Amino acid sequence: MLFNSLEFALFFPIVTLGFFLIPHRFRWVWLLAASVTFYMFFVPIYVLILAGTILVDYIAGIMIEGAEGRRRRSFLVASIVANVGVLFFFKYFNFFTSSLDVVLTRAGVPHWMPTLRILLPIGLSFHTFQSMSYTIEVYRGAHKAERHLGIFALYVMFYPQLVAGPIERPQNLLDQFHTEQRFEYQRVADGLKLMAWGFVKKMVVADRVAQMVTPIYDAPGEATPLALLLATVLFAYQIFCDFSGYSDIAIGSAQVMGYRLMKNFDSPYASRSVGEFWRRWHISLSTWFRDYVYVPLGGNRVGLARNCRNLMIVFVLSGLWHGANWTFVIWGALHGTFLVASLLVYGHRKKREAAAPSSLRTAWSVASTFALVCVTWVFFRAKNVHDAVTVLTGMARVPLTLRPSAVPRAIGELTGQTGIGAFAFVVAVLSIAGLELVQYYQRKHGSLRDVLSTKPAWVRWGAYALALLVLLVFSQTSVASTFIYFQF
Amino acid sequence: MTADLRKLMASLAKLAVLATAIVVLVFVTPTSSDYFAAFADKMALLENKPAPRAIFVGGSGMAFGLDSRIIESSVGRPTVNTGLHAAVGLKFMLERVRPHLGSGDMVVLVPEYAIIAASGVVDDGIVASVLLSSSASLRYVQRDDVPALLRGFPDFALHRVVVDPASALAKRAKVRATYTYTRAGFDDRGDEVGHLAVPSPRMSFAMTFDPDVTAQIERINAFADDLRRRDVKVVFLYPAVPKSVVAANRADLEALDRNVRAAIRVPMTGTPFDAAIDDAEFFDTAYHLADAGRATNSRRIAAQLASMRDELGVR
Repeated sequence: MLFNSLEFALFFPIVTLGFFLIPHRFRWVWLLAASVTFYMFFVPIYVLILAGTILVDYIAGIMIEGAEGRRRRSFLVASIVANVGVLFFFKYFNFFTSSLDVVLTRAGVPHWMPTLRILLPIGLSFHTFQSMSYTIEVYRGAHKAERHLGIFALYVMFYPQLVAGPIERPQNLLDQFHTEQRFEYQRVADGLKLMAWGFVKKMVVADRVAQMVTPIYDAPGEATPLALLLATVLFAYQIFCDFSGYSDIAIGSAQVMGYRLMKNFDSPYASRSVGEFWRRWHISLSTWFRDYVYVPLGGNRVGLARNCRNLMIVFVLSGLWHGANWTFVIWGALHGTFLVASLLVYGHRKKREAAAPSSLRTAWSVASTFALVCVTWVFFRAKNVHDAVTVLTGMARVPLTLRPSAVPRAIGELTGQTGIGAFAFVVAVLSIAGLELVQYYQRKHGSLRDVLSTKPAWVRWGAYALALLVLLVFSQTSVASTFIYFQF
Repeated sequence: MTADLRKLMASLAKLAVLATAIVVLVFVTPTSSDYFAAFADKMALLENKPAPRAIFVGGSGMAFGLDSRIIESSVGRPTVNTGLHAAVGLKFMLERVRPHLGSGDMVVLVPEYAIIAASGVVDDGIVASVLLSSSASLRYVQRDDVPALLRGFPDFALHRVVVDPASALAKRAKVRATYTYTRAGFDDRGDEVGHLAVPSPRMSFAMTFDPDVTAQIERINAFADDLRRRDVKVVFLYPAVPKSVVAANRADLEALDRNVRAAIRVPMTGTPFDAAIDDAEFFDTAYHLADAGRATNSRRIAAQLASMRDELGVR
């Protein structure tokens, strides 16, 4: 089930109302049933894969807790192998065999390579990683094994974050299911407001912008350099609003019921370095890789060479986590390379930054970080490496081809299929400007929700009316759209 | 009920009032764009012209590309052209005419290629814009339309509140000088004739074709099966597209034609290649014909219907 669907518009109030009407001891049953229903809207049979993962990790958690030494470690390894095995089978098997096929063909080795005709279970990487974090934390002794199978199943399947995160840790989420949640006006209202903000990001910005990005990236060879550049910048906002919008709806809908999910985004495009970007973008995934891969590899407590190696391993794995395609591997490797480069020139940059005025330095850092991130988004969005190279070489030609006539032509290329022509571009630019304005205000003054709550009623309700107007008039809901991160 | 719950209910009620006010505001905003309001006129034609008739179903290609007088003089029966916009989708088109068909009627389906393709997208914004275009249009809302109306409302609202006023301003300031589609552009048979006196802008056309048509052809079969019991005939013909487009997509169109013929169970004749027309005879899109092209297309359709006279049991 999609958050931006009419089904969810019925599902959410029914589940929430039922949740508060049911006594605490039965709520896990209600929420688990709701989560199963939510998941089964996609490919119903795949709920069995999820059930298998849950059962394996539930048993593994108890076995790990009761074992010592190598036996304890072997239970953890078995659980990880089972989880990664499922992930490999459904997500990476065809990528692996097709890549091997290319290598063997080039080497002239006669071979036969199997291909699986299967659909990737939705959100597989998310719930697999969440489940793995449980067994790892139990192994580390940071969390007790959960004895209640239903509650553990709910931890893995909790519908707000089941298919696209945030990827939770047992310390944060699991224990909350044991605590009785009461109906509190302020918390419910705050959750609903966060959901509304998520819907604005998804339906007003991401889906509108997607209509302009798609035709350009479907045939990059036919687009002008400026159209490629604009499409890439727009994609940066599309993916941010799509994913952070999903996270806001997830966090908000959990908050309505009293559950706190972790923050997943924190104005990532205001970052002054790629390293900072990763502390603000998909926080639940980057901290997962930090805690379970980077730190165990030695993190930054090792020599420079090994630290660089650790960074590259983490980011190539992060790329692979996103998708079984070389474009994602390159995307991850590019981020790793930028971080390694930053590490290598750290001292030099520090001296240079100290000499520049603060606001100018900040603006330059933010702009250059955004530009670097946009370069990586090209690989993330392109269908294949060839298309990505076409986009990048096209974008590199922008300074050579920039004339006044190039601007309307590029906008025409972007908006030709939108149905409202150049207005779509104007609406998109204004909505992105509005988004940045809100984020800037929030960075300076704190959450807009909190600020509004201190204002007189007419100001608050004026703001709500404006938000409603924006949702009702500027949403792009007429053509079905899913969330980009569902495919991962 | 706890105080907190009462407070929430009160807030939600206030939000509902605000939302209703915004919706009302959208409806009362005057609009200069009333092309979709022609939907109610076309439905009125269907209700008022007596059977047996020739009823043409398609998108805007049908609206812009048919001279119903040529058809009338050929088939000897009144004609209703229901064509308005392809993005409402085949289901919408068929379900709109179904309740108004009478014994002896002949439904001529000339859908744009995107309408019958599996990859063709129904735009709920267009569906909402058509159904909400006038108070008369609201009469034709069916229960199945409710989800599309809800999803499409923002698009309708955006046009009504932002795009249409801005377009009108741009036109007044002579920033945009393209032909404006209006309700008044249609004649009393449902043909768009307002564009006939307007010179065509020079255009080059590019299109792709999805040969996967089986699902929509099955929908047409089911529609025809149901109507057979009511003594209504259904015919399928290909739409006119520019010759350059046909030449550039020959393999896909051949595959599409093969798939149509393999699946269809209603009378059909001609191929996509027979329906191709010189590029110069198109108006402003690859489906909208200018005056001469429209006459060529109508004569082709009349001849094709005449060739099926015995099969259809018409004059």
